[in-house]
Amino acid sequence: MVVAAPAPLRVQETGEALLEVRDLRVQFPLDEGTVRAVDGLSYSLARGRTLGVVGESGCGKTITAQAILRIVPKPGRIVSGEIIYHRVGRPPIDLARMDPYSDEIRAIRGKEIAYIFQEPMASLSPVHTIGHQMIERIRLHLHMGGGEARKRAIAMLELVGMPRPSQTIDRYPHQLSGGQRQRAVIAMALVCQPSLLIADEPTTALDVTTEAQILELLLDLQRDFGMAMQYITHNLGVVAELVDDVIVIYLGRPVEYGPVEDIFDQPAHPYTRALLRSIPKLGKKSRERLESIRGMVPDPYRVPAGCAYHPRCPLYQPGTCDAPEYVQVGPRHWALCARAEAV
Amino acid sequence: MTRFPRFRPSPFGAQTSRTASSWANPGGNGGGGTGESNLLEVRELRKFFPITQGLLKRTVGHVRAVDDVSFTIPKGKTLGLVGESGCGKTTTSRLILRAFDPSSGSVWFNDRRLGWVDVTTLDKNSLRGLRPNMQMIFQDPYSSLNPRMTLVEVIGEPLLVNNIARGSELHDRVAYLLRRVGLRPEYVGRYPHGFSGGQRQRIGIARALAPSPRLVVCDEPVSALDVSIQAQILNLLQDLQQEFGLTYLFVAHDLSVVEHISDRVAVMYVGKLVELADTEDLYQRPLHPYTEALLAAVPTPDPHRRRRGAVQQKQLMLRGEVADPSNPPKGCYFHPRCPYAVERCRVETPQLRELQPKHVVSCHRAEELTLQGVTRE
Repeated sequence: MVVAAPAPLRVQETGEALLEVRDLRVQFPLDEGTVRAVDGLSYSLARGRTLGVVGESGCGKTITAQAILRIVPKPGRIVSGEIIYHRVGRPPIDLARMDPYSDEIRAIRGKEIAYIFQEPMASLSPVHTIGHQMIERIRLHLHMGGGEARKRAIAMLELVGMPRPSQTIDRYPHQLSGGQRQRAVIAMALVCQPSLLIADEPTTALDVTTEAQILELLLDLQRDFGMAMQYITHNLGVVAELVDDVIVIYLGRPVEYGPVEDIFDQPAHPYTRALLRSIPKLGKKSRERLESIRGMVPDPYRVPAGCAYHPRCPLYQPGTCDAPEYVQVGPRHWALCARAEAV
Repeated sequence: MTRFPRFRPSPFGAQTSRTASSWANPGGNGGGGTGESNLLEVRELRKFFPITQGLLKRTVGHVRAVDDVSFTIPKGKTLGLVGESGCGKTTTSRLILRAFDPSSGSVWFNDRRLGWVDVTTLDKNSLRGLRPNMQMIFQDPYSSLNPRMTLVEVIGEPLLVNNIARGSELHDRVAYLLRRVGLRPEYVGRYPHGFSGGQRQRIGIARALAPSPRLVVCDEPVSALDVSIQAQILNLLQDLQQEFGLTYLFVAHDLSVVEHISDRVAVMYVGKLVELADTEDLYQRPLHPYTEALLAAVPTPDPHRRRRGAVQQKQLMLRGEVADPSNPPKGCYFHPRCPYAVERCRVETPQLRELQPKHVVSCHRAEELTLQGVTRE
């Protein structure tokens, strides 16, 4: 079944486009069948704005981010679509068509587009000091000398609120606490002043207090550097606090896209609505039953025909839901649902 | 400088006119419990892990993982236990189940047959008899199930080792439990690897319920699950509590989840209990600055009430990190991070005291401070 891609989502009037993803499809040919990890994803992200990418595990949020950086693990590959990256004073390029091993993408990866992983240890080498890893990046991308690079690294560590940066720089990751490690990773990601930061659940492994510190830090740094952010998370509280626009993904397909206020006030897709209702909220009467989504996310190689969400959807109507298309429910608000008006 | 009298709070108010000696010397009339309505009473529980050094393993210090923790849980109720990682939540729950022995203190369990028993001093045989009454649900549904055991073996093991059922009776009971936690009884012969995280957590719950326990310790049971599955598991836990009259100790770091499921909530910081109150009371009128900071840190799922970046929010935001439990600061452990700390907090350790009925807190300035809680929706 083919779902029509939405009319390329227009760039927000609020700024110029930095990244435009058009009908992106990433597939993994496995023995059990082909996993369509990302199946027709389109969105655009303006300079300095924050996009929240929301979905449950296995929905393709991380693969999307990996596709942008061209680091999709094998055997996955981008089968179609465009990832147009706009650079200042240079013609836009399509990241999806680049050789993932080329010097050109290496110059972008880590410099212009930076990535923060969920688990800080995944992006830190346990056998090198924080400073070693930061300085390597600075020298590689900014062609600075050792002394200058070290100064820059210390300044960056200070900026992210690392205690005693001139000493911490010579520490190994295992000598730091979880929050400090994530700060080091953020410092490392931002040290080349990227125009796009992709943050993949950067606070999920942290305590709420540390999470609050990191979110505050990201907002401050975004304001100072004017970078755009693609924030991947399943925590709707964080989304509400941090992002401008939201894209909700279910089984590799974007099911809803819109400004954060619209998504929370008038969710147009039953999945979005169910997600919002299933989280316990502070200050709500306890002991009420939560609304849960029945069933579970199906196997990725056995995606239901028609609307992929229909087996779990309370509004499913046979006949109506066989080929949902994107409907515009607000000025910049789309949903992939045949029954969006009934939601 | 005035010292507060050493006050031993009984976290459930009303029946609390007991002296320090009655805490220290329970028993007397038929066991150690205070009220028959309670299932569990934890008293002055401490666990210090030694830090050893050198060839001779000389003890050079202690990690004060749990330091003087007391609380009670009434039958059929849920006590939430919250705090940052490393604050001793998990150690407390393990001590209650006697996964290891405490350094001091006692854990009184109101057994149907034996009356009040101190779990920490029971001998091996009596402890074994008590074990079916106290079960645990683990955080990680992947590492807590043996991949080489089928579901009937996983869920049936507690029945088998406790001589509760065997043979076809065991099989029937496992099938019943599977159905009860929302899985199909045909799955009995399958191995855990084919199941999703949510289903695995259901298997873990079925295993915990198998020997018909009265107390279930839930250690972060939903934090590893997806949002839509979290709600299913929380609902299931509530249904099971009603149906079987279970008592929960619910350990979690997600304050919204804890608010949802708990009757009372205990807040821990560096091994110590800093506040304990009924859920609504604690969330709406916190008395300890740490509780206030924890609540302020929770992201609000409402884009119209965005607090990030607001000046007031920044003031409430906790700076720094949790104190090192092997080398805690002097005075109140929280004072280096506390926005309200005064000189007294730096020198004098605050004691837990019952400031309002059923609301205990350990803060010198609890009376004078007006702290911000969660506004009711």
